[in-house]
Amino acid sequence: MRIIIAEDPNWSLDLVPSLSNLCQRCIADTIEDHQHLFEKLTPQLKDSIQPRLSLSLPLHVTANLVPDGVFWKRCCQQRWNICDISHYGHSWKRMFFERHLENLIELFVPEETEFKVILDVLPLCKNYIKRLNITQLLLPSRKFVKGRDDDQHEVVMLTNEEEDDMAASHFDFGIVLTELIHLEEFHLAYKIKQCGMNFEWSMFQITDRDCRALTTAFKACKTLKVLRIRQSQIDDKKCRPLLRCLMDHPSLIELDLSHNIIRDAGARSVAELLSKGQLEKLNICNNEIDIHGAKALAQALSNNSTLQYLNLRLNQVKDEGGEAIAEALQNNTTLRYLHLGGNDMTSITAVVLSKVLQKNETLKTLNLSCNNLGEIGGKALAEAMVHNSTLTECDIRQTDIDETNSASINKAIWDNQCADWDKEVQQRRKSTIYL
Amino acid sequence: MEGKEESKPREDQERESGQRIKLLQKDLSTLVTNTQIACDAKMVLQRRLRAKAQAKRLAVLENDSTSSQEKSDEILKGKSENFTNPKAISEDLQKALKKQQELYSAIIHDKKAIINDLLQALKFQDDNYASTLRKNTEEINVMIARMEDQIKLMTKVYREELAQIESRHRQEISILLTKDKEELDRELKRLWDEELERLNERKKKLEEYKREVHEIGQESNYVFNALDYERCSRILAQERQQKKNTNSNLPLKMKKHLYTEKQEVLLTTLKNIKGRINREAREIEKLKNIYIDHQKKFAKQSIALTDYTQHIEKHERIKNQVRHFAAADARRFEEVWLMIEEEVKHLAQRALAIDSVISQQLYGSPESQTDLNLLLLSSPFRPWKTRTEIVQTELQLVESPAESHVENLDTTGSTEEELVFTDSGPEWEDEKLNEEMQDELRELLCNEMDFLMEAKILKLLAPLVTEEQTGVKLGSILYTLGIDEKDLPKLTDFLVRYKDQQNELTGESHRASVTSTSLDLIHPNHVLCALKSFLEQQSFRSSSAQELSRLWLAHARDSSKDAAYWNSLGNIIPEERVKLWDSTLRTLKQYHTVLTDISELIKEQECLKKGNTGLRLKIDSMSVSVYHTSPPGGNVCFSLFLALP
Repeated sequence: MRIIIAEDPNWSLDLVPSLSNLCQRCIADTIEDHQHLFEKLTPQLKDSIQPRLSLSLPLHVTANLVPDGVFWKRCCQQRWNICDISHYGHSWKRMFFERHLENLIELFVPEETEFKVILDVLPLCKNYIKRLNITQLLLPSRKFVKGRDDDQHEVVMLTNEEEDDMAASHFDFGIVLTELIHLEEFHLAYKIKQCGMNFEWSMFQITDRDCRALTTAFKACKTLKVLRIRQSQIDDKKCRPLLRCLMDHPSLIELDLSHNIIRDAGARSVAELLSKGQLEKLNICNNEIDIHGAKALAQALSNNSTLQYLNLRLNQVKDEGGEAIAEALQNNTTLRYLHLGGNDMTSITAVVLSKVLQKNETLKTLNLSCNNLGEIGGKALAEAMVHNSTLTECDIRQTDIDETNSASINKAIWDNQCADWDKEVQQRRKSTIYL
Repeated sequence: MEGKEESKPREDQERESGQRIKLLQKDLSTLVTNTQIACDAKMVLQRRLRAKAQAKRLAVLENDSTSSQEKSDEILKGKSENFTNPKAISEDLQKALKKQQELYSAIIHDKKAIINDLLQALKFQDDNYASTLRKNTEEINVMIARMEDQIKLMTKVYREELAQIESRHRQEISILLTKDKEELDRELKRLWDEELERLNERKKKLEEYKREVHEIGQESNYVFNALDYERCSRILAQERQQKKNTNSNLPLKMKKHLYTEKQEVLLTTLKNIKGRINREAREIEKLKNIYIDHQKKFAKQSIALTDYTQHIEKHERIKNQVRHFAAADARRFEEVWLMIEEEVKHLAQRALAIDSVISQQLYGSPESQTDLNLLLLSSPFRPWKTRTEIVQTELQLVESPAESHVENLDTTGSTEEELVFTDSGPEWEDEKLNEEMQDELRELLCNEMDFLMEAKILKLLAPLVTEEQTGVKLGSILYTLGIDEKDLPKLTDFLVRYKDQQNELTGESHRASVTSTSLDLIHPNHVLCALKSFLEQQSFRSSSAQELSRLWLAHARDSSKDAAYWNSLGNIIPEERVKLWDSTLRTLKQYHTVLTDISELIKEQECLKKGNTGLRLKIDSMSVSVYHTSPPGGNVCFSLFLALP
């Protein structure tokens, strides 16, 4: 007598899966045809089915059907190696859609890629996108092919084309920004990541037509809070229309125009925006703002009551501009962060600033690095710090301040920090007790 | 108060650790910011240099343009002079031309020099740029390495700190929890105690009031009686009134007054009681509120535990699966074991058969085929073994010395199986007699089954009264036998019937036992056999229970005997016999070679024979032809030739 054992060595009558399991598997397999089945499930069951869903399901099925969870986590991890969910509000779904749209836009070649690609995705992802971080924008490819064919005429061609043809270049954000109804942050950089040997300056700058397109796009996007356009060669001429359209924007809080070539005229329009808008953070580091621009900014700053953060690193404010800004701080009671590093300032500014510091009670962080403050400035600052109890960070590296003064400044800073922490801890304890 | 005192050092500790971490963070981040600032400084320097170079260049260009402007002015002037003076001599013209040419060449030379300078400057800047780029990459690499180190350090420190804080918090939470629980328990206990006291008081008061009411009732009874008397007396008085016409209303009034007073007193006491009840109700409400607060607090804490329950659920699910798989594995193991055993046995059988055939055919010894089962060890695979079976084996061991019972067992074996156990319950004829019999049976059982109990227990039981002894012993025996207490009457019934059966079988001595004082009691010597058969039947009935237990027993089965068992299966043919086979094989092979040699020789011989016959035929034909052609002399020759062989 022999007992027949099945061909599959793992098969056994005892291992027959439960009916609920089979049903879940079936729903997961046929979700494309029977979406209503999935919709009726309880949230718990939905969660348990998510690991079973196929990743190759079309986006128009899953986008509004599957809630945030394991499925989107799998989607993200399949496409990208590094997935830091904390940058996306701890939502896998948001991360997926944001990065998906970013990829599409970054690989969009104007006049070649069909705009339909983006139009198809927009209605699916508009509910989930809160931030767009565009790190590159491509140009139409034909121009560079032509340029390589006849090298001698390249310069001539370029100058001709820049006037008429080139202006039509980059991706137009108009429709995208109107569609995305929850967009809060918008980061832009007009550059190309891997240009190789095709390098041309025109690849790394915003054009006039781009500016015009952006101004109309910003008017349509009412929810925007953070705007960041970096490394795009924005000059005074392009800066003005851009900022003018943001002047009466209802929600803009943070503006970042660092690493551009804004000069005094641009700084003046920034100052105008400061006095009319509700900006809380302004970052214009690594531009070419000079004395006059700084004075305009200082004027705006003294009348402003919303700005908390101002970054003027690596400009050419010099002593006169520095003095103006320092004096503006006398009237200002909101600014908490000020960066004046690398601005060709000397001890004159330091003396003025130290007078202000004795009275100011809001400024928490001050950065004066890479300015030639010298011993006089250091002494003035050290004396000022004795009377100040709010400043918790003060960067005075590379400023030629002698050691005793810098040590005393650092000591005062450390004491302020300790007091701050204690206050924080006490507050936290109070809140926990009330809870 | 205690909690605050405890939490103080904790706060300090937390503050310290926070400060330490912040310091560390600051120290570590200074490196990064240092590089950043160094970069900024470099940038500023570069800007300054660039501005200077720009200014220089501008100056050079300015100089150049002014000088070239001068020269061109001169040229133009010369030209105009020359052209305005048409009478000039050709020599002069030539001279002027030369001068112009010189000036031109000077301008061109200047321009070229400037262009060269600029080109050189450009080249220099290019090289500079490339070198700075290279330097930057190197620095970046160094930075990355440093930062990685730092990250490692930071993570380590953070982890340590985290572990410390976590352990501390955990301890505190547990302490707080236990404290809260204790407090709650205490409060609750106090509450209940108070409640109980109050209730007792109320009870007492109630009793008092009852008594009072009773007294009042009695009093009122007296009053009624008095009224009765009064009525009588009134009649009498009326009679008397008729006679005397004196006033009799006075006592009636007095009584009424007394009655109302009593009522008032009662009402006030009732009010008092009501007020007290209300107060108590309010107090209960307060306590309830406190209790609800506590409950809320605990609900909050339990919310935090729901997460854990989810995990536990998951764990349960996995556990179930594991159990499921274990069951499946056990079953499959069993199946595979049995199948393989069957197969191996089959093979062994075949080997034995072949062996016998070989021995019969080759050695002629009519060795009978040895029985496989005699050679084999018993299979160690007993899939399950319950407690009752263990007891049964024990019983077997005990029985073996008592041979007489074994015989009995053999004779009764068949009947025992036929003896069907009825579930319908024993049908008693006489209840009273039965109880006696049961008691006696119990005693008997205890006495006979002593060996199942441990000696210690027996010693402990020795001083007790016999009845108690039997009770305890019976319990332990039943437990060891795996019989339920409820089955006890069944057992006794079975024993009685067993006895009857025995008597029927044996026939004689029936009378004697009937007349004996011990009624139909079973003989003490037969108790063991009877019990055993009872247990067997019981075990049939409880096979479903075994089903469950065997799953686990199969898991925990003893695998020490497996090797021996399989070895015995493998060595079913003894070593000498195998050797014998080998030698036989060798001789057979030799024999085979000899035989093949012989067959080859035979073939050769046949070939030769064929050749011989062919030759002879040829000779025959030749001789015939010779006979026909040759002269008679030849014929003689031929005949002679024929006669030769």
